[in-house]
Amino acid sequence: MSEPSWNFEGEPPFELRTEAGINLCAYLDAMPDAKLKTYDPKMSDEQLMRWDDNFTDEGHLFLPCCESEEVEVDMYRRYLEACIVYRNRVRGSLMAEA
Amino acid sequence: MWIRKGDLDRAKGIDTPIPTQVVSNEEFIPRPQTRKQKQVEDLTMEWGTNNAKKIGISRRAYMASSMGIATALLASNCVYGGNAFEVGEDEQFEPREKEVVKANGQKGKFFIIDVQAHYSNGIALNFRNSETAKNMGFDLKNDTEAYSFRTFTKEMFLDSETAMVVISGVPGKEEQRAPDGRELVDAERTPRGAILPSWLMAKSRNELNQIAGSQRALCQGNLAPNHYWNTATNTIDKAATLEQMDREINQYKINSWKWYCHTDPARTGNGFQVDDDNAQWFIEESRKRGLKLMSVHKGYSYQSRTLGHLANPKDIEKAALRNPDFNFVIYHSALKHGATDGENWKEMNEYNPETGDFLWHKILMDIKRRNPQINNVYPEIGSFFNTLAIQDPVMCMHGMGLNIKTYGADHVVWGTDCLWWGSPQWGIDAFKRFQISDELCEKHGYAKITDEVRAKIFGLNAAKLYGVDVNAARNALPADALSQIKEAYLDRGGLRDNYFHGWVQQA
Repeated sequence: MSEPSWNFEGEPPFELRTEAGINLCAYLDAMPDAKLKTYDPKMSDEQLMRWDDNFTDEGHLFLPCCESEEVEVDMYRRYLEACIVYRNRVRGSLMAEA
Repeated sequence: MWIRKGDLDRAKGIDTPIPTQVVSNEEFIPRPQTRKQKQVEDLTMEWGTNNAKKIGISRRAYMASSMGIATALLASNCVYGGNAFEVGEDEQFEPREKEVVKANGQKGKFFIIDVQAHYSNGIALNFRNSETAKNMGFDLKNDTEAYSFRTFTKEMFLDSETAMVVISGVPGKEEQRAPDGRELVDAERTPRGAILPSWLMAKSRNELNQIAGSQRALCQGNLAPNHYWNTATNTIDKAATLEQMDREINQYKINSWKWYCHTDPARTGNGFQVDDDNAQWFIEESRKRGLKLMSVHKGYSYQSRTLGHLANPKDIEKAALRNPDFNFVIYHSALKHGATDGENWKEMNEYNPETGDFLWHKILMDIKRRNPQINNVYPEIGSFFNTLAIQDPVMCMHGMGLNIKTYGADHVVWGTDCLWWGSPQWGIDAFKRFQISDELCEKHGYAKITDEVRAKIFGLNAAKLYGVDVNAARNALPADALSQIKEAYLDRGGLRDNYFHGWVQQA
């Protein structure tokens, strides 16, 4: 099944939206739904970074072009969990359109 | 997990003098090493090890020499075919000094100005010392040092032939005043840390020039039309912008602006375009103050649909036509390389081997094709030449051939994006020897790259843009302190590290 056209980036911000936040939303929009569904909130920070597989050995998400702010694991987790709420809300309608 | 290429190489016992895969400057997701790049790596290591034994020096010393670079370029020719690099077998055993024309027509070394040089002051890397990081079991080396000003000075000036650098900005704004209205100074202006704020670039430039006793560094200023924003009216804060403009021009004495249209340091929720009303107002204010050089990041972008498209160079056309007294230096020659492309990056970027076109370079080329009268746009080749040279030398021939054919050899500007790529010397050696094949020249009308063209691209074009008197600068070099430090460094056996700071995937 093809991936629906997620648009978490277009959702009203759930916290003050920085440039890194905008790009993190876009990054999560590109994450396959099947992978997102395997997220377990009980994962430790280290497990979460391994789960994503796009963190650097310096401990931040490799998010291109966000040179004014590093996306560390706390911020990543906040956005990921908000993204899951978003997808749970729109999944049905987007799947029906797809 | 992403790690720095230099760390990966060291773990694998590799010390090739040329990076054997594209490293990311944090503007795109690192790409996996290709089969051919692995072949170049294996051949370079095998030949380099044998050659070092043959002439009786350590492999490390060999790989740090011009002979090591020649070996790597021969390996590239062997793997890719096409002889993109004019390098003789004998250069593996005997360094060859490359002579070229000086500005006045006499023979001499190339005068190299790198208009895209970066370093980090380490502030942005504080996470490494945080409790979270410590508890994760990472092997944390002191990256503040590894990527610091001292490393920058060593790798740019002692380990390479670069004569002058332009310390090039990255997105970020300065806070102007404390809550009590007091004007903030230096590090106070970037309280949350920043990689290269304008105040720091200016300070580093001054420090370098004072150390050298001659002009070795210039710097850019980061101020852009979306840095100071009135959130109540959702419009540009012109008073704050002008205050900062005056500061950067008069106090920091910046030499060029550096714009990133697809970034949003003021949290406006949007970026800007070089041809929009706010940018035009900014240009007019800068004109009044006498600074008419715009360096603009184009290309390398991220996936955000809100911001990513603003790195497309399409907005340069109107701005260049409307402001013929300004010069616009287009960084990365607008090479797109989006954030999500991987092994199929050439397809993702619509590379057409028949025409040599690819995104968004084609858009930049089309601007000049449509407007032959445009004479104030300059493609810059940092993370363009070096990226393409090790990813696909034929694509590199197209990219460089098109830049020179379309904009002219007097409009292509040398930059490297180092230190992401380590010391720039390997790129310098590669470009000294880089050539476009007869076949592509005949089919596409590209000109062969002569030493006269190289001299322009390496430094003479940037010198004109920045108002550098090349002959005076060249004459000052032998006596300056940096040259003397370099001489002592080399006499004491100083070696280039062949450490590439950009990112790759851990195998």
